[in-house]
Amino acid sequence: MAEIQQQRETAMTPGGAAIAPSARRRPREPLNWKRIGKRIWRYKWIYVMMLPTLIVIFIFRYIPMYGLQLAFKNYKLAGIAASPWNDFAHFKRMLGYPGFMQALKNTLIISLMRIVIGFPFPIILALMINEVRLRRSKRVLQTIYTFPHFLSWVLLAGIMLNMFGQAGIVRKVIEVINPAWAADWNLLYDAGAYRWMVVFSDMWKEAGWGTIIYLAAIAGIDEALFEAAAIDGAGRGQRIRHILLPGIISMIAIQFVLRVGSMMEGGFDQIFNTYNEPVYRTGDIIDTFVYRMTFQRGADMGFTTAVGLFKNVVNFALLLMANAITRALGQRTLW
Amino acid sequence: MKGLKRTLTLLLVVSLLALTAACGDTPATTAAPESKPAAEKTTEAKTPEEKTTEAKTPEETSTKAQATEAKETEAAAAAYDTPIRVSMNVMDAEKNGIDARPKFVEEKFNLTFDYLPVSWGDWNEKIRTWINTGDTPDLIWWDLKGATAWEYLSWARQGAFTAFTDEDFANRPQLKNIYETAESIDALRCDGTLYAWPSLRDNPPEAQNCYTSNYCYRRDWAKEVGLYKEDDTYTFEEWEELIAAVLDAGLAEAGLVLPPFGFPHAAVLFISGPPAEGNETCSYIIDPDTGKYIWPPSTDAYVAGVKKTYDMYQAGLIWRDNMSFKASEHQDMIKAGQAFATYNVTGALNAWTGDMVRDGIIEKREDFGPAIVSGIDGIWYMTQTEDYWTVTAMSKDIDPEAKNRVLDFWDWIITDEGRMVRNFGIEGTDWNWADNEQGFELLWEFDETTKDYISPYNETRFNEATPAENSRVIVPPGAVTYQYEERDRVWAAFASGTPKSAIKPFDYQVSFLSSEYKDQFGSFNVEAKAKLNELIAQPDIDIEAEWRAWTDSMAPDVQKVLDELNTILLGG
Repeated sequence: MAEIQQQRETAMTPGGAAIAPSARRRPREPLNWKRIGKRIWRYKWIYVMMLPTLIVIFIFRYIPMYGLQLAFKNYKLAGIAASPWNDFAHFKRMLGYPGFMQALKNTLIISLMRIVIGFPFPIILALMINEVRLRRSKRVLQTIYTFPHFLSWVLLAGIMLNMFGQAGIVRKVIEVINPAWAADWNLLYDAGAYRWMVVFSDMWKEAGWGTIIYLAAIAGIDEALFEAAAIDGAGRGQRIRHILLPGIISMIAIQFVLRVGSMMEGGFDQIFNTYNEPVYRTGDIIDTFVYRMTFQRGADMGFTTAVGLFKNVVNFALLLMANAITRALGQRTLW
Repeated sequence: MKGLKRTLTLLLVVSLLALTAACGDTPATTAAPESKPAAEKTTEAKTPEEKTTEAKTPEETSTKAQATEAKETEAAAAAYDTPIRVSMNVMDAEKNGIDARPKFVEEKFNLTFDYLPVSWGDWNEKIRTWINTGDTPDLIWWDLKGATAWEYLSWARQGAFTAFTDEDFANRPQLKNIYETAESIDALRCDGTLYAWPSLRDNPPEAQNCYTSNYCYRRDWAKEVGLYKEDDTYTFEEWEELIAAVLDAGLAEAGLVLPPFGFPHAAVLFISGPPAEGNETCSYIIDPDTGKYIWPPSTDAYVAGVKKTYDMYQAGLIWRDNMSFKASEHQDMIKAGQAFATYNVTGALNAWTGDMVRDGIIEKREDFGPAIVSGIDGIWYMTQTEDYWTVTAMSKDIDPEAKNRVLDFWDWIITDEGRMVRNFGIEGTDWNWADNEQGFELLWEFDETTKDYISPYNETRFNEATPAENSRVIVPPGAVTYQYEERDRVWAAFASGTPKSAIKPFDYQVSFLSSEYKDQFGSFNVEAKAKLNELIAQPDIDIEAEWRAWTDSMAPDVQKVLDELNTILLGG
């Protein structure tokens, strides 16, 4: 048990290698460009392989930032540069737009629900899968849980309609149990139920996929630690508590930071394919709001760019905040 | 081994780079095989200022006109020796360009098309994206309605399109006729210049540009529940009673199913007194009492329509999952025998009933047909709309030669020969003129089950012909005439005034007005439809109070538009 206690005080890399607390808090050394250059030359082919990714990121992530100035302009077909500045008119309009505040509120609520309810679920599932002793059963279970991730939301929206709609199997079963309930059946258009449906359907679809990263982290923990703990008399629960969870806590922290950093993303694909007008007041998020304003209401590129920019700035602030909190808690962070 | 690794790494990098490059842009207009690419021949995009600089003096214009005339004569003599390829957005892109008709056009005009896909769901979205990114097809085929006319005007002013001029129609008699007579031509002019060509509707003249919109229902089921009326004419109360009876009898799973564009307002508002223009629920109208513009959703008649829609939805007469329909689900449910009635099918009755007879859903075509249902105020309304179905604009970058070739093609497709090719295919293969060209015989296979010809073009599109005119369908001898007879019967009943009927007129002035607040807010029809959907799904609410609360909340913005309309159109 003494070894386990020592292990608790020792951080782990995702691969399972222990890092002494003193090493983690080592002061930064000044940059040695000569050494960096040597390292780059030594691993030059690895860097060459990274090149296409950098090019793609530059083309599709950095060049489009030029268009962000549209948030401060009235867009004209003559081009972004030729469009006149408008004294923050889009931002002023945005803050007074009733649909925007509703979408902002919905985005935050749905994201919080996803974090509180949905975030721990893949971790728990990973721990459960890890406890399955038969390797073949483990693989079968992993495949079953991961499969929904590969179905598109277009398809899943159809499946949900067929399950929960007027002619769906759920209503048919309820009709047998209590015809009065079936007569008032309205689940898909019930604003009160919509957020729960969003969170739980997302958990069902993505939990299996989410376990992969935690299972990989678990696989990196030294088996000897479990064996030693077992010899010392630690039960299954104690091994999970004192070895497994500390072993993957860094990964959980990083995943948490990333999740908080994307809180303003409410899940466009899912919501767009499953929502409808009756649930706008609880389900319309910033992304769907922007989509409707851009493509269905009449194109106001400047206004929707302003909304998009606002969303990303908030996202970035949240990311910094989550990163700082995680660092303060002594966990591994993004930077 | 090390060398092999390096080689493999390099290969991987090159292939990844190639994949990155593959994400690049592809020009919409591609080259015809043995000619200079049309894209290369397109003119450079010009700003309005540049265009102004290039404006000609009257003398120059006159000389240019003479030169153009001479050039056109020359061109006609030389036929079409340069291949032209133009891009155009179409429905069901994969079904276009694959039958004998485009080949015929290619041989006759040396003109081929690239088809860019649009669907009912994304049509206007794609138009907006293309125009805003300057990446339009050569021919921009567009479901332009009054609600979005301001966008067209705004884009035209910014130089997004090539203008149509008087010279374009001087030597094209079919187009010239439309140019000189169609009501919408003036409405489509932007600051005096025409940028979009209307594809005129195929309604009969007595329709006065109204939609042939009405319910279509299962007559056999109506008979089964004993509520069928021989002339298909029902009051709204009788209609509700009929739907409920069919549902109670367990004949249908769903009562009324509606196309997505008409949900839920087609159930009541389209056929009732509240003013509705086109597909909109709430364009502006003049109040006969005050002579000023008002916003229909705030009127008592509209509120009564909202209340009735709510009651029907809550009672289950309107299929609740209609809320989730995105495309042809209503059609599927009717054709599968799951639903009792739908809306707006009269123009497709032959195809629908043919499928239903073949699949054994109904015994004979007459088991499914139009119902004449009066509105909740006892009057049967038809909604007038623009005189066109769609419009087509030409990109600012289209090559002048391509423009002329397309106009030649459009002019021809409206001739008798063109219409025959469009409707029936190739002379000699698909049809033959009878004696003295007074009639024709169809050479298609005949289906004894449906008693109709089997068109080899049924599953294919010929959308490139649509911009010229949505010409009246020619009924071939011996073919099924059910839908035409039913349509004529509907219009005859409408004209007879039994039941009492009225037209909800279309107002070009309001629809095509581009002004500050109207451009910003439109007619709030998107908001009204969303609110209506939101409210009807909520059980046990005071719908009237909720609706009025919403219209009151919209009043400040609505008033801005109304003030604008009253000032600009009514002079104060």
